[in-house]
Amino acid sequence: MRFSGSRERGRIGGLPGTEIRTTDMITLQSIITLAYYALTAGAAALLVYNFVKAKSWEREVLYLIVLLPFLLRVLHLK
Amino acid sequence: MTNTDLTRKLLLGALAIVFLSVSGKSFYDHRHLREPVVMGPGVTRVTTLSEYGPTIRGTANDANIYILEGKAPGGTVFVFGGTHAEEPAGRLAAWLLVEHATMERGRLIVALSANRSASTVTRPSAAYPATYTIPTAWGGQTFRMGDRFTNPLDQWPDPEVFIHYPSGQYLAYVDVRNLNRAFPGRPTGTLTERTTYAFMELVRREKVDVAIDLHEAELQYPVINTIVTHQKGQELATMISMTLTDLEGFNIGTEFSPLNLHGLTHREIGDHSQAVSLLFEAPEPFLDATRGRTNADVLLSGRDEFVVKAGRKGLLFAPIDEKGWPIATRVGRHTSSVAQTLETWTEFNADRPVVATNIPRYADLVKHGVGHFLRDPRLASQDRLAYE
Repeated sequence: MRFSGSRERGRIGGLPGTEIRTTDMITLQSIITLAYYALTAGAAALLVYNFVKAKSWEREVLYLIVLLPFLLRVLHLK
Repeated sequence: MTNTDLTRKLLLGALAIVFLSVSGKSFYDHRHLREPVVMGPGVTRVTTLSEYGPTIRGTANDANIYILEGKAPGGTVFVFGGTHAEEPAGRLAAWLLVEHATMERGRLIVALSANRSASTVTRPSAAYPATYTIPTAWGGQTFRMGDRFTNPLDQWPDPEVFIHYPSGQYLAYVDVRNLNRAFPGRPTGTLTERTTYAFMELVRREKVDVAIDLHEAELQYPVINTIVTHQKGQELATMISMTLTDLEGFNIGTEFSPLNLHGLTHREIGDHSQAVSLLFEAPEPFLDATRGRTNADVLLSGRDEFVVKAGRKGLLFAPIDEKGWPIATRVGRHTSSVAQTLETWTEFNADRPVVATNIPRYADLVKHGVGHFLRDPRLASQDRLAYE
C-alpha cells in the first residue's frame, strides 16, 4: 500500500513496500471525518423530513428519538 | 396536515428540543468545565505544551506546563498526571505539587492534564460520572472525570489496527487515542501523537533527568502498586521502592519496562531521550470490570462490595477490604513516591540535585484527606490562578 506526497514515513510491521506517509494518513482521516459529519447531517435532515411526513404519533416520537444523537454529533457536542 | 397533527408535531418537536438542550448542555459543560489551579509559591513560570510542539497549538491538548525552579541550580524532574484521565489520583497528586511544592535546588516541571482532550469525555456506555467533587473546608472543588482515550471529537476515526510509530508494532485500534501507547509521537501525526511528540520535545529541551508518569489501575490488572521503570532507572526505582516500603507504611514494588512493548512512557521516554522514565501505579477499584454501580462515590471512596468479593475469590493482584482504596490513600502514594524519587535521585546524583519542600506526603493525605490540601481559588490573586 502506498500513498504519496509527504515528509514522514512509517512502515507496517517494518515490511518493505508498506510505507504510509503520515500527512497523507492525517489527510485521509480528515476527509473521512468531514464525510462522516456530512452523512450525519444528511441523516438528520432525512429524519426531520420523515418526522414532518409521519402520520402517527408513535412514528413521530421514534424519528425524534433517533434524531437526537445525530444532532448531538452534528453540533459537535458528543 | 390537520391542525391537530400540526399541534402534536410542534409539541413533540419542542419536547425534543428540550431533551437536546438538556443533554447537549451537560456534554458541553463537561467538556468546558474550568478547573482552577492556585499556583503555590514554588511556581515560577507557566507555559503551554505548544511551546514544545507548535502543531498542537489551539487544540484541546495544549495543556498548561508549570515550572517550579529552585534558587540553586540542579537537575530537572518532570511529573505528569492525566495521561489517562479516568485515573484521578495521578492528576490530583500533580495538582498538590503545583499548589504546594517549593524548590530549593533544581527544577520540577508539572503537567496536570497530559491528555487534556481525554479529560473532556467519559467512557462510552460505562456510565461514568461527568465530574467528581473533592470536599474541602471552603466547600469543595469539582473536577472533570475523563476517559482513557483522546476525545473522539478531537481525533477520529480510529483505524482497523493501530500501527505504532516508529516501531511499526501492531496495537489495538483504540490505542491510537491512548496517550500511553503513542510515545514518542511525531509532529505531523494524529493529535495524540502530536501531543506525545510535544512532551518528548519538552523532556529533551528542558534536559529532564527523570520523567514520572502517574497512573491508577484496576485491581484485576497485574501491574499495580508498583513503579515501572526503564532499564536506565532500575537502581533508582529499586531504591525508591525499598525506601517507601520501609519508611512510609505502604508497599510498592518495582517492575522493568518490557523492551519490546512500544508506545508507553516508561519505554519510549527512556529510549528517545536522556531521561530516566518511571511510571507509578496506584489501585483504583472504580476501574475493575466486576465493580457494581459506577458513580463518584466509588471513584473517591474506592469501596465496592463486588470488587471485595473478587478479592476473596483470589482474582485480584492487590489487596482490598471493606475500607476500599480512598482517593487520599491513592494520591498520598503518588505524592510520597514523587518526593522519594527526588530524594533518591539527589542521593545518587549529587551533581544534579533536585530538592523540594512542602510536598504533602502519604501520612498527611491519609490523616487530612485531599481536600485539606486544595487551595481556595477565591482567595488567590488572579496572577496566581490558572485553569485546566
